[in-house]
Amino acid sequence: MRGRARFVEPGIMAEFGAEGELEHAVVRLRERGYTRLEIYAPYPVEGATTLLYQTRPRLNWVVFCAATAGALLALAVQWFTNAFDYPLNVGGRPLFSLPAWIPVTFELAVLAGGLAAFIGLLVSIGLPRLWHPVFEVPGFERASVDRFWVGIDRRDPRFDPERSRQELTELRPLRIEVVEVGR
Amino acid sequence: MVGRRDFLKMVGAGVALAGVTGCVTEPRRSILPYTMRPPEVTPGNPLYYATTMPLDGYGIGLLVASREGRPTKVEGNPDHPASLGAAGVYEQASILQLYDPNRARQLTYQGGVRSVRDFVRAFGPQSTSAFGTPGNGEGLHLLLEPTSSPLTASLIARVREAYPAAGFTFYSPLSSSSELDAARNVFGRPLQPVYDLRAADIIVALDADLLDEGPFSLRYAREFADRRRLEEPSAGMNRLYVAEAGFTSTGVLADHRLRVRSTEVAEVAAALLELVRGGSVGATEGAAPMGGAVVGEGRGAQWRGNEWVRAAARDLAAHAGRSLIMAGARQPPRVHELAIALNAILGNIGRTIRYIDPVLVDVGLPTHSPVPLVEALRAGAVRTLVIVGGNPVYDMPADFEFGELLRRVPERVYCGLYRNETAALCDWVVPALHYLESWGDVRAWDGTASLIQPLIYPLYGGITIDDLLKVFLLEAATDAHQLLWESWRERTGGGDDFDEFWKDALRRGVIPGTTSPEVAVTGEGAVVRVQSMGGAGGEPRAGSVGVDRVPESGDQQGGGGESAKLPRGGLVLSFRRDPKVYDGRFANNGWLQELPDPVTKQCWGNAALLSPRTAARLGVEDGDLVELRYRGGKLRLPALHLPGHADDEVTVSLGYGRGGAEEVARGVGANAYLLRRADAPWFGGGLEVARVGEARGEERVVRTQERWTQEGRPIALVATLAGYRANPDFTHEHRGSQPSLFERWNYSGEQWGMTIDLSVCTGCSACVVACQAENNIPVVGREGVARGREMHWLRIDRYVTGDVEEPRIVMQPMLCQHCEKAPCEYVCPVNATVHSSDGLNEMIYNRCVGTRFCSNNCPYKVRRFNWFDYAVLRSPEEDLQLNPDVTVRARGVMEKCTYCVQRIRRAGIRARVEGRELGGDEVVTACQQACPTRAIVFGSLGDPESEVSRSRRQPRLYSVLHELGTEPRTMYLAKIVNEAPATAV
Amino acid sequence: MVGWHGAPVEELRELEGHATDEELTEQLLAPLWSKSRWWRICFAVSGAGTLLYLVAFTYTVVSGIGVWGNNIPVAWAYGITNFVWWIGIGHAGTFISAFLLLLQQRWRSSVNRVAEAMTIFAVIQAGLFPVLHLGRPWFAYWLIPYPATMAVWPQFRSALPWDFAAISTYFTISLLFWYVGLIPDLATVRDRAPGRVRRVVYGIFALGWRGAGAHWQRYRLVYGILAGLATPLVVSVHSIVSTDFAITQLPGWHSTIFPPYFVAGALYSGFAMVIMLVLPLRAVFRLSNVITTRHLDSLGKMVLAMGWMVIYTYAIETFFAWYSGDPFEVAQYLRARPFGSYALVFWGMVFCNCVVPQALWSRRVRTSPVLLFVVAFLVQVGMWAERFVIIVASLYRDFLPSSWNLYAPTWVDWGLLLGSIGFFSFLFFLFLRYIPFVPIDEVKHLRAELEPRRSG
Repeated sequence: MRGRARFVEPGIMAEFGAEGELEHAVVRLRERGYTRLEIYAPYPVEGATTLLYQTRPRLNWVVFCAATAGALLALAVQWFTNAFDYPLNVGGRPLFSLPAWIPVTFELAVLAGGLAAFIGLLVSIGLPRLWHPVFEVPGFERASVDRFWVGIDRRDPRFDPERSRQELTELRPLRIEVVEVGR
Repeated sequence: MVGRRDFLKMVGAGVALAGVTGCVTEPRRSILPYTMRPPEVTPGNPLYYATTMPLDGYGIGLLVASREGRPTKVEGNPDHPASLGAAGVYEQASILQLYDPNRARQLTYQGGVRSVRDFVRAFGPQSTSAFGTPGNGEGLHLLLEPTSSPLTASLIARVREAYPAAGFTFYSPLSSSSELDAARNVFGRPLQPVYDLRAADIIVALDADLLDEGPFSLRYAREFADRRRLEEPSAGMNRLYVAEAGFTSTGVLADHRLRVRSTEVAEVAAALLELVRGGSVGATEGAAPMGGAVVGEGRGAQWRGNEWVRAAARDLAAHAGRSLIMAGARQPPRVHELAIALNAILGNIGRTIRYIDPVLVDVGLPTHSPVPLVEALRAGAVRTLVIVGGNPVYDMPADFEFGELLRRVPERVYCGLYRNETAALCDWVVPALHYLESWGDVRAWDGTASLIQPLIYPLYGGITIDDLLKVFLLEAATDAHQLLWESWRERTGGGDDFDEFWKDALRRGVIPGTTSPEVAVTGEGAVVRVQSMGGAGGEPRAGSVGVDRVPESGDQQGGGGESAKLPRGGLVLSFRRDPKVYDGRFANNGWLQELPDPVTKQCWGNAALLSPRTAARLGVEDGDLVELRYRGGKLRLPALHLPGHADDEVTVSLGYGRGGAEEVARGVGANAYLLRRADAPWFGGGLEVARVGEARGEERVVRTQERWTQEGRPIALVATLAGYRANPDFTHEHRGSQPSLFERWNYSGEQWGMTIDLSVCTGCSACVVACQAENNIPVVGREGVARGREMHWLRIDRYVTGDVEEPRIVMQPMLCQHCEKAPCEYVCPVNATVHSSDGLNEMIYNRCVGTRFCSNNCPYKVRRFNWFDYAVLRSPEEDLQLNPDVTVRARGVMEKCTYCVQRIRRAGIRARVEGRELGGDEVVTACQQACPTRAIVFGSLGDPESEVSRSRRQPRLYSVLHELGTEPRTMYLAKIVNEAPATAV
Repeated sequence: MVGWHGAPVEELRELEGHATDEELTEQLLAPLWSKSRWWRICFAVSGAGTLLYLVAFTYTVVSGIGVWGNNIPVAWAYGITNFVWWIGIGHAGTFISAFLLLLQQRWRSSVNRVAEAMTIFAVIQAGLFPVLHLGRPWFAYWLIPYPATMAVWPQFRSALPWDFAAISTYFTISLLFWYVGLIPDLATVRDRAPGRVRRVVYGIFALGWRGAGAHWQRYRLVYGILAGLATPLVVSVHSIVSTDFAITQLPGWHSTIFPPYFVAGALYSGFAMVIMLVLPLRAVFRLSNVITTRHLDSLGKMVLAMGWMVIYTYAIETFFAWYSGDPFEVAQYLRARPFGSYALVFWGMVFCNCVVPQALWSRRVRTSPVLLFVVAFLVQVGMWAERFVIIVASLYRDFLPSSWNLYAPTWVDWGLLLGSIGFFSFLFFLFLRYIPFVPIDEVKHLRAELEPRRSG
């Protein structure tokens, strides 16, 4: 379950009506010493997100390497096919026609980079994962519409069903729900 | 109960039939499987057989390639005087005619299929017909094509013995006896001239297409060209003066061309004669002693003042004995007489001209005129008309109404290749054999006899004229081969070595020692006669065909004489042999229909050719549909502006508008014979032209080249000889290497290259047909050409230079240039066109995906694309003609000239097998081989002494679009025109 | 709300009205639930067009390129014209999404998905023509370097393998970009969809998106990266397409200005196409609050700007033809095009591409849907004409006058042009029906950015 551990598995969640309230809630919970929090929002909310995730993922490096590899592959293929494996006199042009090979090289770099970025995204956020315990939370479907949720990981050292519920209540959320452990 | 007589009759019949039928079909012979293949055959290798193609009675010697027993290509026979190794469009295309699926296949009587036996029973010894034995042939008439065959001649003689009262007529719409009549008038006997152009420095052609028309044109073209190849600027060159109305291949090579109405050629000739005789060439107004005698004073003066006439006269006078004046077959006898007179005065006879006895059977006799037959028909005197070959219903002068007359004949027999217009009106239709299927013999223009040997067993059955004639003789069984063999045996007096002689004759395609001897003549008669000659037009001889009298044959053929009198300003209608379908006999030949006219570049049809000025006067746009009204006849066809055509004259090609059963020919073009009149078969006055509107659909002119000019671009370079000598390097900007970023690709071994000499290209298009036959090039049809999809790998670009009024035409054969820096190659995404180590631009059909990018980037646009699956359009019969060495291209791939790579590889293999180097001149491409003037030179540039390498040292060498740096392997020699110094100023 | 009204009235906003997130979501999802009569009609019409396309397509493959009007010298005509036209249209989408994203142009938000969909569908059309125009389409895969039995490889000096790489890359990246952008909205649809089937289907495509902070953070990063990759790609693709012509020797093609020229032209027609697609949607689905006059105004300005770049290239091209003094160039640009057989098309192009867009100087035109649509349409026509002039007018008058010949389209040529338009609309209407064509999350995000905090 190493993969799962990277992501917050909420034990209890609270729903808020506005972005601001969510951010406020995150701040308060942090003050109380919660370390493994997660928020759920219909659109990117800068404030809360930056509170939770300071470190920038290294995805862009992955993409860069992939792009470089793509470029090299393209060059290699063109050299092998046109200059090495089957050298032909084509219109008196030199066998090693580097300028003519640039376009394909560039295109393959972009292609490799793009694919890497997409796959990288899925890996880094653990998708596709069609079912998740939070989907069982009543009312969570509005997290993709106009509601903002905060969740506390049940593996959080400070997590305790009772106390956590108590502390969430103080934030006056629209509702508080306990997340059933996967059936 | 059978009576005794009947019984005997039947027995006799049986016996006779057994004999007679034998002679009308080839006897069955057993064929052998290749498991025991004949020693001379190596599967995959072509075998060449010598044979001869008869055309209008004269023979052209050929070598025919046979692949596993099927003839695939016709080439010239170097040993034959009429060919010298070259082959014209008709000879080469005749191979397609052999396989024509439209050929008549069954012997029919009134539509019902009959056997040869039935035919024999009807006309043979036991004939039930009117003239049948023991009749004297009363009411029997045979209409034949002119023939020079010794065998046929002897058979005709024997038929005449058997049926003394039988009538004979020899007719071909294009043959003219003006020449012979003139000779008869001058020398007292019909003689035909044989020219030697190699000995002539100055040649004056009066409406004579010597380089592309007539049974000796291939030879004349070669001889003429041999005097025009400038190895270096200082070399000598002959000079050609041409006076003509239309633009012929000869006019293309003219150094001085006079645009003159056909009706005025006579006056020009007369003026020429006066100047030459008067010796007053220098004087401004040649007051020749008998000036008035020959042409009206006024016009005589006008012509005598004409620059062309004066220049020609000056040159002739300066080159007495080394010059040559020839008159065209279209001109009346009188012009020929003037020509003879000129040659006589200049002492050319015996030097550049020699006279021989006519080689055609009966030539010069009334039997060569259709008039006696027509008279007999009108009088109802003909009971049985046997027509052998030709197509009189279609191509007789319209005023004979031959079709109508034929209908009245009780018994009508037609023996020909096709179920054409004539066959449709005959009740007996007998398929004829193609010359490539038959045994026979024929003589060339100079009398040289040669044999016709079959290349293949008759495809659809049929008989030859000899077989047919024998039906009318009571003969023992002999097949055609036997017949021929015997006739030559007795002609040569047999002897023990006859078999050797026979084999040799077959092998070489020429019978040695048969060339007609020269007949010694003096020109005096001519001079005398010309002096005694009355006013213009020459006596009543040019009168119309009287119903009451049978005039000399020359009159129908000559014509013109009368129309010379017509008031100036009237339009002249002029007929011409079509450069493609001849008199219409080749109209069903896809290759020839699609072959662009050398000058107009029109395909699939004919048009009313007229000069732009006349067109403007008549308000006729290029491509308009016009109606020609001429002496009661009407004809609708599109108009086509032809720069350099004589004013106030309209030229129309014969041979189109066919109405027979031939599918290809039907409905293509308009039938000009409908306007043709017996008294003026070639040209006559009184034409009216009415604009109908814009030509649309089937009537539209389709051309492979719309443009006349080069748009000021340096493509086909031309210079005068004087200019060339003054500045030999005038092409330096168009050759040499171009700066390049790439290092040169280094080639080794044979390096193929081609040089084309524009100076001697007449545009005759023999090379185009040769390429088509060699490389399995499909025919795309009228619609295809209209859409710009003709498939010719080799085309001839025609450009007009000089001023539009008096244009000069330069012909430029354009084929794949095999560029070393080929633009087509680097744009191909799949390596389907690449360069070979011996410098060929190779096209790999099975790798091509058909992006057509190569064509877009080819500056010469010589690549062709298979827009459809053209192979399926070809009939199974025509498939037999395909060259097995060349891929038949699939739909959707590019194709183009390969320098006949199949020939290159074959030669290479041969060399390797024989363990030797491949010679620089060893490979001959199809186009090079066919070219009558040897304008195309091909070979290896690797060999410094090869012909092509030598041609590359000429200073007038250049490459087309040199500035693009494509470095073509095909290069051109600029056209050099030998203008007379005085007029050049 | 104060700030909401505080701004001067005439200022054009990216978002009008006070709709809540829920209202916005409902409004933007409505087209997915309800089938409008309009949609049915349009769908039927475009379906008919697709049918025509199929007929022409099949007929061509079965009979051969001969059923087109092409010939020698005009070996390329409608096929490649349509190809370049469509690929050009395909450019605005990615440009709007990617480039404007990098420039943080907020007005892109409401139109980018339509634009991206347009790109993908246009590239599909564009991708079909190069294959169809082959003499032997079934061998198109020979352009891919795979170890074939013939042991022959593709030839990479030719521009066509470049095309192949460029177009397939462009299609892939555009698709990814589009899909990544879609994931949150698909999740929204999943959560709002009535009925289990749709929930499951959309759920699968949503990949289990939870809108978690971790998701959003990586998501925005990758979206940015993809934008960064796509932007140079947009420029490269049409540059490469232009080399189909620029690497040849043909007067009218052989020109170094082609790459920027083509890119400008592509964006020109692309933006025009976006306008032509967005305006009807706006009217039919009453989206004037989401696709505001501000958007129209900006799109109009883009068209005008690109128009001027195109005008500039026309001028430079012609000038250099004259300045070079090369007779072939001169004949092509100064004679064949303006006075040749296709002069009408040429002048039509000049009118549509150079004269018409000048109307966009006026704000009234830019903000009036009808006028804007008319301008956009004419620009579309003009750009097609431009490609026709470049391809056919250059080919029909090349080096040797002997080979000059005219080109006339057949019904198949027209069928493929109209048919491809039909097929394009067919796909587009499917898109409207099953995918939220305005990015809901972005609009809500935009609202959040524009509005002051509701509370706290």
